Amino acid sequence: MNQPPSPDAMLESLQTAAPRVDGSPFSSRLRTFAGNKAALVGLVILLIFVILAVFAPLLTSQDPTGQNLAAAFQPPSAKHWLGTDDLGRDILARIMYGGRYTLLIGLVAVSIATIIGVPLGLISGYLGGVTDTIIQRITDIMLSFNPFLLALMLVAVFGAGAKSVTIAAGIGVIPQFIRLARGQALSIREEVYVEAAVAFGEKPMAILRRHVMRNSLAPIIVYATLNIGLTILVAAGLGFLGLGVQPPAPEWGTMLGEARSYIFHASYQMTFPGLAIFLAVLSFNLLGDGLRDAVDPSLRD
Amino acid sequence: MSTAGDDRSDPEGQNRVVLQATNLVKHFPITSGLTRRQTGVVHAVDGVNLELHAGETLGVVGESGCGKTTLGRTLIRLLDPTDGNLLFKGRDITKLSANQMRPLRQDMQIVFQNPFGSLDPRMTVRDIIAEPLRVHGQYHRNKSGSRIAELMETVGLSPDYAKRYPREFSGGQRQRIGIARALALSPELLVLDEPVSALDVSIQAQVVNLLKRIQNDLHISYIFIAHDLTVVRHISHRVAVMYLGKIVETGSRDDVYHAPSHPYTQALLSAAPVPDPGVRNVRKRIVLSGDVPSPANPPSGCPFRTRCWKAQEICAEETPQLIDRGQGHPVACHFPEVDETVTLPPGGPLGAIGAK
Ligand SMILES: Nc1ncnc2c1ncn2[C@@H]1O[C@H](COP(=O)(O)OP(=O)(O)OP(=O)(O)O)[C@@H](O)[C@H]1O
Ligand code: SF4
Ligand SMILES: [Mg+2]
Repeated sequence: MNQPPSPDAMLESLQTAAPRVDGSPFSSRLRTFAGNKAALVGLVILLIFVILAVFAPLLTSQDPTGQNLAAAFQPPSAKHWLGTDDLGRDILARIMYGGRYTLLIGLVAVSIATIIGVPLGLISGYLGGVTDTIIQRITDIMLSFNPFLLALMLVAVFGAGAKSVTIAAGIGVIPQFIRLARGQALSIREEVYVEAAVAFGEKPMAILRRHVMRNSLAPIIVYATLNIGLTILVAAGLGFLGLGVQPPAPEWGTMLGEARSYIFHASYQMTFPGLAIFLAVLSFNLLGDGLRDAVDPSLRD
Repeated sequence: MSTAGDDRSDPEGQNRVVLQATNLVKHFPITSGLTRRQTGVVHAVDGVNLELHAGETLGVVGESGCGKTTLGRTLIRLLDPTDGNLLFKGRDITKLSANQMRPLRQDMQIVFQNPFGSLDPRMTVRDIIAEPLRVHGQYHRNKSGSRIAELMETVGLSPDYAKRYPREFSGGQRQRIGIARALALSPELLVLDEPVSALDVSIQAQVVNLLKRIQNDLHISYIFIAHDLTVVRHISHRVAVMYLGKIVETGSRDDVYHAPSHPYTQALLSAAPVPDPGVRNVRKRIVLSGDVPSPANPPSGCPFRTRCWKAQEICAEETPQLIDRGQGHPVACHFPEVDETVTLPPGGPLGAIGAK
């Protein structure tokens, strides 16, 4: 599975340049990002998917779910650019509409992971002591499964469907976010400006919110971007197994699963959703890499 | 607790004791291995006695690593003392909890050694200076703007800079921001931890003059930490020389600069740069041999004995007490002698200070 770098490795590379993160103004970071061709490619692919998903009703007249058995298994043609599937539905239309599921699942899942994982990690790293030990034990247990396996178990508990897949994929990557945020808190805790806040009597939770969290945000945003790709893969994998978004909804992983039976006589039915997943994951990874380089100039060659 | 009693008899007077440390000790455990077993102790501060009066500056001087920062932090309870006693305005603060300390923090502030790390890079100058006010419920969206502008003017920064971020400022300007933040709550005690060491010499004088002016105007007590004797000369009323976690000589400024009696003080003084070549040639120069011993393994007896040219057997056996042996001020040496040949002529690189 195309895993983003481990939180520890991320942290190390981001921290070595931590002071410089703030040394360069936003505009120069923007230039770094814009100068990064790969990141731009990622951004363009992503924008295309977003436009296709959002404006699907305007861009295609085809119904993504309406069946027309007479038109089943048509190879790509002028009328159906990417062909039709086993039930005669236009694959292009399904991919366009399906992007709504895929992108939304990725975004919401990572938001869940961020909203739960980051505060836990920051508290764990900043407060230390028993709190840290407890949170770290739980994280260790979660980390001993890979994100897909963890999500799979959760779906087994929650049941299949778009909502539970999103939650499961989100929870699947929570431990990584806890790790990353904890590392951030551990290093920011030693900053003199945090000691200054203690010196004028700021309470630990306020220090956490106003200083530690704000200063750890940049690497966390980068990591979140990289993880959207991962959660998309997890959700697609669950869909492929028939545990994700349920048919007839055109989620890409679910489409792959449906196409599985016809792989030998209508391989394009599988190719295009697979390609869509690949490109979506790729775009988030390129984007995340670009963001990281922009935040961390030391990694530029 | 006789001191506390004295305070009450003269609560607003010049001689009111703001801070008193008795036998203050701060040790850091050295741990190793996965089990974090303790394998040793860093004697960062090792039995310090000091007293600071209202409106007074006590200069604390010593080489790098002798425990100045640790002392400064422990004095305002940013670190918990390992042993000893701390009285702040007559109140015992040695064992107060973080919550109990919080209201007292309005009265004791610190300016940090490194002006580059001490300001949150994601906050504007305005937010940085407003933060202590906010924490103590003194921040009002409409009214505090003028207070912040006033603080910025006090430290010589244009209030026009309020919306800028720390990275846009030079080291000297950042240190001024740090000073403004420390002054926001009108403290009575300010620990200045090498506030000018990181700055250019030309800017050092400006900042020291600024601190002196602020003290005159606001009647704040300073603990002014420095690693050489030139910087603190013009701002200190009294001076304490530190070596390996201990004060080895202390007295009024004139005592220490005109009648240095501890070999270490003499060495520090003789090493101070003098701009006038005529004076430079006649001054005695004491060059210390060897390195500062590790505070994890300090020498027995006198901490300075490994580098002292006057060391005798007794120096290894008995720790010299910090007492007056006839020099007119306390010296922790078994064989103190006043040596005037090393004294610093007035002036020096920071000569501009105090001239006005
Ligand atoms: N948190 C800590 N844990 C362990 N040892 C420490 C800690 N802080 C300081 N020390 C040790 O205590 C000793 C005194 O350090 P301190 O920073 O107080 O010296 P200093 O006089 O301020 O030096 P400098 O001039 O370099 O700032 C040093 O040996 C240092 O390594
Ligand atoms: S006590 Fe002895 S070793 Fe220590 S400073 Fe005095 S003479 Fe030197
Ligand atoms: Mg220091």
